[in-house]
Amino acid sequence: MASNASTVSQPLLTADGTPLKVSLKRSMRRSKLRAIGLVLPPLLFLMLLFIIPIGNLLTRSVDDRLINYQMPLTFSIIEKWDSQTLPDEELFEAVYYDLGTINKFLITNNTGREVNPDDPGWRVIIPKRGPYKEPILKINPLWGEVETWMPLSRIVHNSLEYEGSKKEKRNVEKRAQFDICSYLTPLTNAACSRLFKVLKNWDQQSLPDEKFYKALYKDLSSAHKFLTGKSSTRMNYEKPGWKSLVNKSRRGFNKIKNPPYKEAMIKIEKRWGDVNVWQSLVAMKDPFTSGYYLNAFDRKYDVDSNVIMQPEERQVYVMLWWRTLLLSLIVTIGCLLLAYPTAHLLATLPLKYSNLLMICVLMPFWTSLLVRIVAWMVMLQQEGVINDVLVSGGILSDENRLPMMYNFTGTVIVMIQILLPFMILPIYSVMKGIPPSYMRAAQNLGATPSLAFLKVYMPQTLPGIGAGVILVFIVAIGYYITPELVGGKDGKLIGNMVAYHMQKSLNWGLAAAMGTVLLGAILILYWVYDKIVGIDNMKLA
Amino acid sequence: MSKGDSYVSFQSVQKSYDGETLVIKNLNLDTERGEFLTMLGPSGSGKTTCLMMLAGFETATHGEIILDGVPINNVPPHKRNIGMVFQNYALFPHMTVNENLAFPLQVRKFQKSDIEDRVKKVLEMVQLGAFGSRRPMQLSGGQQQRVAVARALVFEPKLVLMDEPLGALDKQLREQMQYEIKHIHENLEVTVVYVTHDQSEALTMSNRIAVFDDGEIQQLAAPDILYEAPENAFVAQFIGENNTLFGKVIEDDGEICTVNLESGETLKALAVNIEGVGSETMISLRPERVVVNPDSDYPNSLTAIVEELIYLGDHIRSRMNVCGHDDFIVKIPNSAQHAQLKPGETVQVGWLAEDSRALDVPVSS
Repeated sequence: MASNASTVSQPLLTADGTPLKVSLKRSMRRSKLRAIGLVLPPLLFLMLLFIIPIGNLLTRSVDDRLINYQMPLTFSIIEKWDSQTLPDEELFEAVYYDLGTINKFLITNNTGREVNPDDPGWRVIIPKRGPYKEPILKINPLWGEVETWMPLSRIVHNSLEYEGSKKEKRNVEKRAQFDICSYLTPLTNAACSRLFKVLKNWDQQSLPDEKFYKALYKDLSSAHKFLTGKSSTRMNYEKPGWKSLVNKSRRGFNKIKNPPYKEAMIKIEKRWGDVNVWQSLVAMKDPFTSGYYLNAFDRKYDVDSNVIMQPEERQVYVMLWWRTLLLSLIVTIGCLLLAYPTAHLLATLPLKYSNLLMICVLMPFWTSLLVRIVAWMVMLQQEGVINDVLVSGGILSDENRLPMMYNFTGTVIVMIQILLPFMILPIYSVMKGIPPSYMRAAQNLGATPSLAFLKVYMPQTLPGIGAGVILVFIVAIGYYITPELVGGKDGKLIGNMVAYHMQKSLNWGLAAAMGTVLLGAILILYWVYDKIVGIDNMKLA
Repeated sequence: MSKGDSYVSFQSVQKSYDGETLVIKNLNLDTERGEFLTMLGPSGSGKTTCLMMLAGFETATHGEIILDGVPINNVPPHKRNIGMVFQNYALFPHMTVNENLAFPLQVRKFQKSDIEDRVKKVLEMVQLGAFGSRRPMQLSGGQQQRVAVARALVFEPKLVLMDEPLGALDKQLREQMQYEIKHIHENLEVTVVYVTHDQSEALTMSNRIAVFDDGEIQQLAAPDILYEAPENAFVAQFIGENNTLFGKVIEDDGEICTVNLESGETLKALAVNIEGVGSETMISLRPERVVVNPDSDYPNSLTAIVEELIYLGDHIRSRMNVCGHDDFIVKIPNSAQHAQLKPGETVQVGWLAEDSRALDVPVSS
C-alpha cells in the first residue's frame, strides 16, 4: 500500500525511466502525423476552394467601405448636420472636394492618417494642367520625401527584375501597375501606368521632380474616376438617382472656380437642393451596412434609421422567400410520399428485382440534368405529351389544355423528380438495416399489420426520413437551374434572384446577403433538426 | 397420448418453398398442454420452419396445424395469441423496456392501470424491476433476453414459442437462463415449443425432445430416453458423445444380437434397429459406459491402444485405437482407484451388451 501511494504522487515511469506520458506521446506521434497527413489535403482543398471564397463573398453582404473611401471628408462632418433642413455651405464644400478632387488618396491612404476635416490639404485644388508638385506637397508634405516614394519604386523594380519570356515580363509589369494602384488606393482593378513609367528610370535617391507629380496626379485621377463609378452604383442601390447625380455633378464641378459652393452646385444639379438626397447620404456613412439584408426582405432605412418597407412597386423579395419556402416544403413532402413506398420495396424485394428497381432509381443520376428537364418540357408543355393524351382521350377539350409548364406546378413536378433519389437513398439505407423480425414480433404480439407498421416499423425509419427531408429541403431551397428553365414567371425562386444579381445587375452585396440568409436558414433548420431528432440519428446512406 | 389431450397438433404437415423440394416431410406432432417441447436438429433440418408455421409467418403447403382444437392455418399471426421469443429478441429499439412490454397489452386495449400492473409484475418475474425506463440497447445481452421472455409472457398466452433464444449469450449466461426459463415454465404452466440446435440446452430444459433431420422427426422422446435409448444412428450421433463400431449381424435372438466387426472381433449388443441377420449395422456405445481392464465376465472386450489422455478434472478423457480406428473415446471417472494409463499403453476395454445398441447404418457413412 505504501509503495502504491508513493507512485501516485510521482509521475509514472516506464521500465527505462522515461515518464509514461512522454513515452505515450512519442508512441502516438507517428499515428497522429499520419492522421494529419491524411486529413490535410482535403482540408486545404476545402479551405482554399470553398471556405475562403464563400467567406469572402459573404462579407460583401455587409461590406460598405467603398462609399467611405469616396466620401471621407463628407462623412467626417455629416454628423453635425441636423438631417432636417438643407445642409449649409460646409457640407456642400465637403461633397465638392470628395467628388471632385483626388486629395483623399494623397492624405489618407498612403500615410494611413485618420480623417481630420480641419487639414487644409483637403481643400487644395490641383490645377488640371499643372504645376502639380507644389499643390501636392501642400496637400501632404510627405510626398516631397524620397522615403514616401520608395515602396512604389520597390514594386516597380521587383517587377523589372523578373526573368522570363517577353510575354511573361509584360504580364508581370502590368501586374506591378495594378499593385501600385492598390497600394495607393482601395481599388484592386485600376492600373497606374504613368507612375510605373516614371519610376522605372528613377535612381531611388534624387528628389522626385515635376514629372513624378504629374504621373501621380494623372494616375490617381483615373483611379478616382473609377472609384466614383463604382461607389455611385452602390449609392444608387440606396436611393435611385444617385449615379446620374454624381456623374452630372462631376462634369459640372469643373466650372465651379470659387466658393460658395452651395448655390453653384444646386445650379448645376437641382437635386442637391433636395433634403432627401442628403438624408440618404447619412444612411451610407457606416462602413458596414445591413442595407443589403433589409433590401433582401423588401425593407430599407428611412431618415431616422427606422426600418420601413420599400415602396410597393419595388417589393419582390418577401414574396419570393415565401414562394421558395412553400415550394421547398411541397417538393420535400412530395418526395417523401413517393420515396417511402419505393424505398420499402427496394429494401424488401428479392435481390434481382430490387437491383432492377435500384437502377431505375439511380438512372436520373446518370442522365444530364438538362436532358431530364428538357424531357419534362416535352411532357408537360401545352402541346406536350400529357396534354395531347388528355385531349385525344376526350378528358380535356382542346381549348382547356392544362398549363403545366413555365409556372409553379411545372417547377414542383420537375424538382420532385430530380430530388427524389436524395430522399429514397437515405430512407432505403435505414430500411435495409431493419430486420423483418421486428414486424413479425409486433404481429406476434397482437398488432395488426397496419398497426405494426405505424408503431414499430415507421418510428425506426425516422432517421432516414429526417436525413432525406433535410437533404431534399436544403437542396430545394437554393435550387436554381430548374426554376430558371421551367419556372416561367411565377416559378422563379430566390436562387434565381441570387443568380440575377450576380450576373446581370452586378449587385453582389445583395446577392451575398441573400446567400447568407439561405445559409443561415439552413443552419437554423439543421439546429432544429438536431434538437428534435438528434444529428447522431441521421443516416445519410 | 390420445388426440384429445394434445394442445398443439401438426397433422401431416408438409412445407415447400419452391415447389420442388419438401422442407418439411409429412410432420405429425402432438404437444400436451403445459409441456416443454423442444425441436432439436442441425441447421436446415426444418425446425425453425415448423415454428414459423405455428406462429403464422409461414403457411403450411399441406396439412393442418391445430391449436387447442381449432385449425389455425387461416388465422393471421396477430390473432393467434401465441407468445414468441425471437432469435435476436426483436425488442423494439425505439421503445423503452416498459413500452416494449406494454405493447402487446396496448394493442389488446387493456386499461392503463392494468397495463402498468402487469408490466411491473412481469418485470419483477424476470428480475429487471429497475430497468423499465431503459432502452433495449442499454441492456446487456442477458437482460435483453429476459425482456424478450417477459414480453412473450406479459399478455398471458397459453403457448410460447422460442426460436433459439439463447444463441447469442455466452456459455455461463446461457446455462443460467436455461434454468430461469425452465422455472418460469414450471410456475406459469404455459406450453412451450422451443427450437434449438444445442443438445445440452434441449436435454436440460425439455419434457420431450423432437429430433429433426432432413425435414422429418427422427425421434420424439423424453431427454433421458433420447440419450440412453436412441432409436437410430442419427439420434445416437447427434445427442451426446458416441463411439461407433461397424459390423454385420450374424445372430439375432430378438433382444440381443451378435455382430461381427470388420476387423474380425465379435460383439454382443442390444438389437434396436437392425434389419435381421446378415445386415450391416452400427453399434453405438456411450464413452462413459466403457470399462478399462474389465473383469473377465464382461461379454464384450476388445484390445485398445491409448493414443491420448486429456485431464478434465471430474474425468479423464482417453482417445484410444480400437479395431484400427483411433477415435474410440473412453471417459474414466476421476475416482480414487481409477486406472492409471499412459499413452502408447495397450489395455483391454469392455462393456455390457445392454449398454451398446445395434442401430441402422447412417446414410452418409
